[in-house]
Amino acid sequence: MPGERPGATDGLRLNATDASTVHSPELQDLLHCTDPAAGEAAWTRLVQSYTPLLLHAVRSVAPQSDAAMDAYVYVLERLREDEFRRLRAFAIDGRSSFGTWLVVVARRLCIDRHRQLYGRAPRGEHDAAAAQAERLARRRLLDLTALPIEAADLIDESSDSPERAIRVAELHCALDAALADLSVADRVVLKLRFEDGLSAQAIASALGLPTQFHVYRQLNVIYANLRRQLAVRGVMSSAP
Amino acid sequence: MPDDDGATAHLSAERLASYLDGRLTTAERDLALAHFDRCADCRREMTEGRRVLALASPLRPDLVRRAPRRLVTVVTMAMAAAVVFAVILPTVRDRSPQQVAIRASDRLAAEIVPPLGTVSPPAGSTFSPQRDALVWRSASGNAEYRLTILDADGGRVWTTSTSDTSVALSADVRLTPGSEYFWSVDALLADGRSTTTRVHHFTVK
Repeated sequence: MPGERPGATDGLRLNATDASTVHSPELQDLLHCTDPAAGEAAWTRLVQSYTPLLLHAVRSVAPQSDAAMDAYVYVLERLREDEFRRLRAFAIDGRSSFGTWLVVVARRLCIDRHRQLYGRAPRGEHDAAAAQAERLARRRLLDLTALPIEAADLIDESSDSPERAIRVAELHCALDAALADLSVADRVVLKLRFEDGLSAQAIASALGLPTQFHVYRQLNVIYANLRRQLAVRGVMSSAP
Repeated sequence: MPDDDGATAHLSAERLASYLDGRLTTAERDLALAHFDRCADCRREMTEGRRVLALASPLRPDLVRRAPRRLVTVVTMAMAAAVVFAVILPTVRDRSPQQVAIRASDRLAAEIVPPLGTVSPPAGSTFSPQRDALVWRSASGNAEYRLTILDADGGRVWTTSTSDTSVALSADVRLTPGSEYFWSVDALLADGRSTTTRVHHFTVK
């Protein structure tokens, strides 16, 4: 189940020490209730407090209004099941804030529900689309990092010559090797930029950087590093 | 979802949430980044989660409680929430799930606020700190505004809060003539919604 650690919910009740790690009073009230009526009231209060956040989370997966409302109801039902098993698991082990955890779990529940209803995309289609996206992303990255193309280097783009195919393969091989020499953090920035198509502002937010300008600076350093690595491997142009 | 031992396994919900909150150890964060490097699905989940959290930040009861802003803003938000939930969102016990969802949909539709417009200086124009003021359009309702000025390297030069829609630079703020700076305004409305101008730039005369 999303968010679950095996064995983490064995009917444990919070003690005073555990309660200090739970940041939400509504959650604390709910998990400390022994009386069913009080528990219902506490659940109602928690839902009222966190419904706006939950709606944002489900809408990010199911933007269309009717689907979002169905997903919202589904999430509430899943959070309630087994005497709030997921909420108890968070309370025992949660290092994150409750709101953040709630968003992550709600989105995962919605995605799982969507897959149950509609299935995943056929594997072949998914692979073909992903492969095409990766080829385009590599081409863009190569164009950005390699030196300007000289006219003499231009080859007919529509040509299917073996020569061109070999050269393209060599370029990608050199790029793969250069990328492998980057740090993990730098590779993640490139993937967010070129594979996921995020703006610099979105990348900054995703990685916890102060502003988009920090992302621009990091990208410039990465491009310079890649150019050096490609030059070492004999790549002076992105033209095949 | 599988557990999160090592960089190959997907991140658990708790681990991903801790990453988004910046509460992982350095080693754990490195493992998470290594996984994001390999797994496009988890990477997308992380960026989408971040986007939702940023958008919905003013709506989070846990953040409001832990980092209260002004007392007036907190009380206003609590009162607004009480009114909304008393009128719009009945108790779960008394309504069917579908009725609860319909009411929640009404609330969500009311939460979207248009971007905040700027008035002066026009984007990319020159700016005289001694003579000019930064001016923006009013958001609806009684809003609090937070202005931020950054230099070209992204360093924060100045930030201030106001309930007005214009600000003249404080005398102790030093901007370098001929240099480019970036500014933005975030607005927090009384009912907890928020909007922003996004980032604009000017060159100092």
